[in-house]
Amino acid sequence: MSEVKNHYVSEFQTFEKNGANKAPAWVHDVRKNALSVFNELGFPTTKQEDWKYTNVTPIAKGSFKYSSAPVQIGPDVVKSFLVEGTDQFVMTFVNGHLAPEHSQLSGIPNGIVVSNLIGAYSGHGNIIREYLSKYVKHQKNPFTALNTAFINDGAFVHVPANVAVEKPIHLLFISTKKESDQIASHIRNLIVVEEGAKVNFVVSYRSVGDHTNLTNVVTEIVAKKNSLVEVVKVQKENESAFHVENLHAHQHETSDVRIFSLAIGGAIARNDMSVIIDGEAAECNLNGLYIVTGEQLIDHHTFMHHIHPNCPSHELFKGILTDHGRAVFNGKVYVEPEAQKTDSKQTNRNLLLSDTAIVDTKPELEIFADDVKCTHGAAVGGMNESHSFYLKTRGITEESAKGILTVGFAAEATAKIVHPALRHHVDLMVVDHLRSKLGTANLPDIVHA
Amino acid sequence: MAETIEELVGKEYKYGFTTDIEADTIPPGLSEDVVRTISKKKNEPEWLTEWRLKAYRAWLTMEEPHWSNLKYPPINYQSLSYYSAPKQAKKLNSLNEVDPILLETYEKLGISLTEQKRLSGIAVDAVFDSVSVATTFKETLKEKGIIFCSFSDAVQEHPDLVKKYLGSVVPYSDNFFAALNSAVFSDGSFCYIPKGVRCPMELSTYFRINASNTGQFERTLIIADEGAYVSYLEGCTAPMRDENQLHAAVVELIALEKAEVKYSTVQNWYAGDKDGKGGIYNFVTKRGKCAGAYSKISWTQVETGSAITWKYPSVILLGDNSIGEFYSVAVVNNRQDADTGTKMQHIGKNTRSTIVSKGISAGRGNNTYRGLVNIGKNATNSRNYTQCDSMLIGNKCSANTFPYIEVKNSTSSVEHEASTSKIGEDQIFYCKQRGINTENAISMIINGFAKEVFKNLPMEFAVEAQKLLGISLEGSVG
Amino acid sequence: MIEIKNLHAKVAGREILKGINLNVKAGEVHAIMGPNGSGKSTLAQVLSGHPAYEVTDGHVLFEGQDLLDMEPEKRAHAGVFLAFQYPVEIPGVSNSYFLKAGLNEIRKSRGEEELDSMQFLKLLKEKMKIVEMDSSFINRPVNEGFSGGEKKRNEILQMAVLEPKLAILDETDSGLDIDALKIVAEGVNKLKSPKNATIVVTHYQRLLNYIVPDFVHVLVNGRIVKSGGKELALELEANGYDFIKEELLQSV
Ligand SMILES: Nc1ncnc2c1ncn2[C@@H]1O[C@H](COP(=O)(O)OP(=O)(O)OP(=O)(O)O)[C@@H](O)[C@H]1O
Ligand SMILES: [Mg+2]
Repeated sequence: MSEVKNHYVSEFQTFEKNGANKAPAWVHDVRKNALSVFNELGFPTTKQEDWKYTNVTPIAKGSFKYSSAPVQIGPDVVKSFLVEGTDQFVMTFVNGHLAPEHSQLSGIPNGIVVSNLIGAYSGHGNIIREYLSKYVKHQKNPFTALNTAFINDGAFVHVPANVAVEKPIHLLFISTKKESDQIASHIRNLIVVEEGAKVNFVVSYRSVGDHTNLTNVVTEIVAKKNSLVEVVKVQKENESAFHVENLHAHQHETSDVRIFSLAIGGAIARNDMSVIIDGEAAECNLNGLYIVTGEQLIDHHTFMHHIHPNCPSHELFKGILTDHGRAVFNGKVYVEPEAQKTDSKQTNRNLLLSDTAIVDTKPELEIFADDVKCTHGAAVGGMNESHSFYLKTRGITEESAKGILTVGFAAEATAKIVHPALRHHVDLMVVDHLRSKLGTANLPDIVHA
Repeated sequence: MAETIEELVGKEYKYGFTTDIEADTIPPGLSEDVVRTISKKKNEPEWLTEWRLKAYRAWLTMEEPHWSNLKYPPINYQSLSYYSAPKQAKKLNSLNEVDPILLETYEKLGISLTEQKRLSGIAVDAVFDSVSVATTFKETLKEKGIIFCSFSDAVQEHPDLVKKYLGSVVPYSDNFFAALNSAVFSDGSFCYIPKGVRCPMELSTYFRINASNTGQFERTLIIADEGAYVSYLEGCTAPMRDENQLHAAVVELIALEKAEVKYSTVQNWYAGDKDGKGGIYNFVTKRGKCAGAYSKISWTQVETGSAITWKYPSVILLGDNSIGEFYSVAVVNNRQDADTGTKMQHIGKNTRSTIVSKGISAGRGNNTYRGLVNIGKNATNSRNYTQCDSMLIGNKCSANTFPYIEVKNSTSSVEHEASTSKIGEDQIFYCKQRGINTENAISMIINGFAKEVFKNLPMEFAVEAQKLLGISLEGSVG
Repeated sequence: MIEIKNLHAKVAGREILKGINLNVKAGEVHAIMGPNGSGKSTLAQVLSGHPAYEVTDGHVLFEGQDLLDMEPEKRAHAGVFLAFQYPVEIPGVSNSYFLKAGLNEIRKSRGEEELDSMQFLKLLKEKMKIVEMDSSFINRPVNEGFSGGEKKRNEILQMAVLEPKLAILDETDSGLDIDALKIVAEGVNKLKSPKNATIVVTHYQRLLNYIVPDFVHVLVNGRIVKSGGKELALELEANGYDFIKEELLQSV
């Protein structure tokens, strides 16, 4: 293990020497502090409760390197990753570095900032300083510590008060092969949505090629009073890739945050998604769909923290597994004594399509207030028999019933995405993915009521 | 309204008296010598002494587990006495030889050891501090070939059975508390139901801690041979004392082919006072093994006592088509802390398990359900259904749910549902609109909440359990 | 069309059907009545091949074929349709896709061209008029969140689209308001022809005013204990099942 740590310490020294010095002095302090935390923690092991079912040894063993020089990719590739049939602002990063030639940011209304982090220090340094690393704690999460130690670039978005951003903002992170190196991209995103503002994001993680990279992201979202934020995460890196993200949303009163996670890529993908509802009458919808095939392991750890009264939160995570796929879900709902009238519902449902797939699910409730309604449910099983019988009595064959019901199972999750174009984008990806992975071309498209 | 509810849940502890009886107590401390002393006092065969020593040595290498949600000060294992027995004639030939003070104690606890007075449906093994003091209806049971006696007697009279099954479900190295128990266990109940026999009466052990500054470490072993059936009840109380007392028991159940064991517990150890002073630390390892095909093991527990509860009655579903069940009501009040649940390990094909857990938290109590459902690769066509509900009364208490679900084949299905809510205002209003007063409405509602569990208890126990919650079916508030 | 001989069936280890005999010819309407729990739905489920029900004895010929030997979807292809007493909700699967998939499978099995989306939509809209269903139901998930009556209408809509030879309607009238009852009954009547047959399971004479049966059978405790013409339904409405039970007792 210490060898592994040494690797990152020497990486850190190289990193601090070249290229990373564009950041202000305080960032250097944050980095150094985080590196010492990482040094102390090391990579997690399955002995730790939070990592019980997710063995990250393959990540720890890899000697992933910070990539300083950008890599060229073709415009067609980038285009194929965009949301079909809708105008969008696009900011593209390749291996963690802004690729202006693949970004489409013209026409952004005055006052709205969509920038890379490095580029924003000079103009918006005070906002960044206020929020960067404020709510996400790296003291306990080694990957977040590592990310913080290597804070360099990522997206910075600031939406001023009472502004509604009409087009969705697409943050596109592409990972590519670079010579023989395994690249580590420690992407850091900061999204600050001021009072009464409205904005939709799609955040895509894609790869070009079949190399083994590590994408280690931390995304911090601050949703001020009365704001409305929707974030649709689309994670479809190649099946050798390692993906880790700690996404953290901090909600103020009467804000409305909707997060959706589509996780279909990567060899190991770990998604920590936590929401602190730090204001009265704020609402959070946290949903996701994972499709796990081949030898993939996809893990979601969610944390819904209710601090104030009258806040509803809803979580629906669905998983489809086949081959030797492994899914992990751990959802915690924590209700503080002050958070009376909390209405929280969490559901995790898993559909197993092969005998060799494995699901470990752990829905947790910790409740300290009495006037609450909190429920959770988890289910793991094969195809619903009464559903497939009903289909068969209408003449549908076993094979197509399986396809129809699998797509239907997924559709119930994607229905939670509010922005129609983003939802459609995810629907297409889901059906496409299922078609190729299940080997049944004859699958219906997803139609929502 | 809050007061009424708290009153209801927090009735005065009735069993807090102490019995003045001369006891044979060894000095505090734990060592190999102490283990040998205990074994010698009990005149045990060599292999058992060795087994205890192995357990002790294993224990030395282990650490007290701290993964639970429980908070309690460190336990000094050297300050406890590991053996305390009421002084009485070595071997009792009949109940008449039992010290009258002891009979009186049990009488006071509502457990009559005089067979004539007993409801004929229940045979009792009474365990006072570490030692079994009386077993009723032994003869009646003997006619059917059923062995029901104290663990010590079993060691003397049925060494082969004990040797074969002791530690076969909970190995001495299983966990910290089980290892401790295996090293120093003093007595407990032993029960063997022969092939094809349906035990004609409920078997029951009544545990009483009396001596101060002692730990209680009893051990229960129940074996249902092929096609046998037994229903077993366990009750427990302890005096009110200011210091905490340690109780670390082990229960092992074995069901062979087509056998069924039903194990019910009403746990009412002293819970400590309002401020959390005193009370029993209850660290118990209970596990059953459905060893044969079509066997069934069912745990029902009503947990109202103890300052600290750490307890996960589990079932290993080894035999094909075997069934495991866990029904639990856990109530915490004042400063009580309960971390309880179950493990269902599905190994055989077509195995089924059901978990129903009802937690009620009041005062400053913490109630945690912790469960594991594991469906192994070869446990095809297996099913689990889990229902896990919590009710909160007042806003200084807490309810936690930590279920682990691990599924490794696609022909099986697991369904888990959990909810947490406060006692329903609408329900109370509805009752009141129909002329029922608040107190009765609340007792009806709490009773209804726990009903699914109560209905699995034998009649007599169900009534006691309901009373324990401060609930009476007639509607009179206790 | 269908010949049921000495049919016995078990569910969850319990024998529910204890020797059913019934013949239905093309063009006929048969009503089956009987007390709750007597086995009416069980008979319907067994005929459509529900896996939870185990046939322990007897046989069923559908147009000369052994029905019990066929998979549920093959029965549907052959023309057996069951309108469920409790239709299931299937989240995420749109009503129209579901129905189109079924229809095209059935057409394929008959050697007919599959319908494309446009053709299907046209057909669906026509049929929806018959049961007076709003077009908003087209894309809603199958039965999800439908009211009791809407589910029943949806069943009849499916029947209208699939055009079965033998339709078994299991209490399609329960949960329908008065207007809906008429609509559904008219729907059924419109689809009636000398080539197909209908088995109507119901508790109420009311429905039989609209769908006039040629025969009425009374199912009690897993057996058909009495058969007659449409007057039998009136008699049952007036007297309940007691008189039949008494008759049965006397005959013992
Ligand atoms: N899946 C099942 N598991 C257990 N019992 C069942 C099952 N299906 C049916 N039964 C039992 O079989 C009996 C017959 O049920 P069935 O649904 O056929 O009655 P029915 O005549 O349709 O009654 P109703 O008029 O109430 O619809 C009932 O006692 C029912 O409880
Ligand atoms: Mg019916």
